[in-house]
Amino acid sequence: MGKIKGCGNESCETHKKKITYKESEAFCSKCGSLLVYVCKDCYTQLSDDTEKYCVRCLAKHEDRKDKAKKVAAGAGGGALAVGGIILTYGKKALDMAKKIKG
Amino acid sequence: MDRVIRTENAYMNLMTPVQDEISPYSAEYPVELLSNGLKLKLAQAENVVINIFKEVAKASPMVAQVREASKKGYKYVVDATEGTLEAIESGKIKLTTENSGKMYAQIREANGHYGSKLPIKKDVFAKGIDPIQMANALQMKALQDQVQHIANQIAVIDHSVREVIQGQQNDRIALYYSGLTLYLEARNVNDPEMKKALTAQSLRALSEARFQLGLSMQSDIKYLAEGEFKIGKGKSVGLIDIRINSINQSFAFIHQATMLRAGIYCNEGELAAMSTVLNEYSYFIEVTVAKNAGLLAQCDKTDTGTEKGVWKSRAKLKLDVSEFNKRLNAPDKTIYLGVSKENE
Repeated sequence: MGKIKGCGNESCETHKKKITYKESEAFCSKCGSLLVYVCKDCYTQLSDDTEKYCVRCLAKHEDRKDKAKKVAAGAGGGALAVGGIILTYGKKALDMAKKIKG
Repeated sequence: MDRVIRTENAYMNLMTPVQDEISPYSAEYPVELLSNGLKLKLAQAENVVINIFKEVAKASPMVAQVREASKKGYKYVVDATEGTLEAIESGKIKLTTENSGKMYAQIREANGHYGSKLPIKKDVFAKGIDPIQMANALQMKALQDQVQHIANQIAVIDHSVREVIQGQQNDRIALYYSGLTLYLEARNVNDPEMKKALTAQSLRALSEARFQLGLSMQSDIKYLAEGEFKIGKGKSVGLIDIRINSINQSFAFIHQATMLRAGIYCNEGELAAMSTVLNEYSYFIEVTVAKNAGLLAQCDKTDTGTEKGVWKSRAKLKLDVSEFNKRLNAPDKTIYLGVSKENE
């Protein structure tokens, strides 16, 4: 699903320009070579049709996801901390305000 | 005999003259050593064939024989008793090589089977011709196309590994340099025994370097194949790159060590041993590189994954080396069939 094909002929313009084809297509429209599965990101030729990305690009995507999770976790932690500070100092501030008023 | 082999490869053409020796510490040294060794062997083969032709023409009074010799360009003489000679004259002869490398002539009997083995002695035919040398030279000549083809294949790989070589260090690579240095020392030693011992040590160090690096490379490939890099959350690409660099480094020095071993054997005139080294290299490529070429191409950011890509072109080495090895080590090497009459 979402896998793409490309021309495996290195001397073909289609290959040089990294033009992609739909999975349903079989031959290169420029040189007539049999199309091969290629990585969606870097156009590296893949040995089978099981993956959309090559090993390295897939790892890159996973890394991005992990980093995003870390950032989100960091942001969540930060929000909790800010909430805590607000609670602590907010209470003190209220007490102070009552004293001043009183 | 004067056939010119044309090749498109600019890196290792066996038809060009022997190059002046380059620095032993240069990345090109091992393949140059092998290339020069092969060129010398081919040149020797050419000279031997010419000498044989001259000797045959001089020593054979019969017109028919000269015509036969001219057609073939060479001829052998087998050392045999009177009775055996009669049998030889009426039949056909072939040369066989045992696993030990020793050569024999064998008579083809009427039923088509080969009979008893006749030892080949030196200086049986004419002064200045060594039948063993002749056989080796002719064999080398017959394999010229194969040798050139292998040289071209090696050049493709060699070109891709040279960039990796520079500035690399670890204990296994140190073994390679140890082997290289020992060989250089062996070349400058005058005492033949010491020369042999140093050459043997050099070959051993190179062999150890090759196998240690081979294991290291296999371990790195396994790491990638099993996706162990996924453990490093957010850092897996970095981990892949580290392993690929290590694999490239190991492969580069495996190649260098193999070329150097093959070059040493070739320069020592041990062609069968050279072919064994190349065959072993071919097997290593088949098992370690060819089977994982797709994975390696996907992990290596410098590779395109196509047939001309780094790893798939490396994986192709297997076929032609195997063919060369098969031809060089063929147990049934029929080099000539004609029988001379000048022993009468």
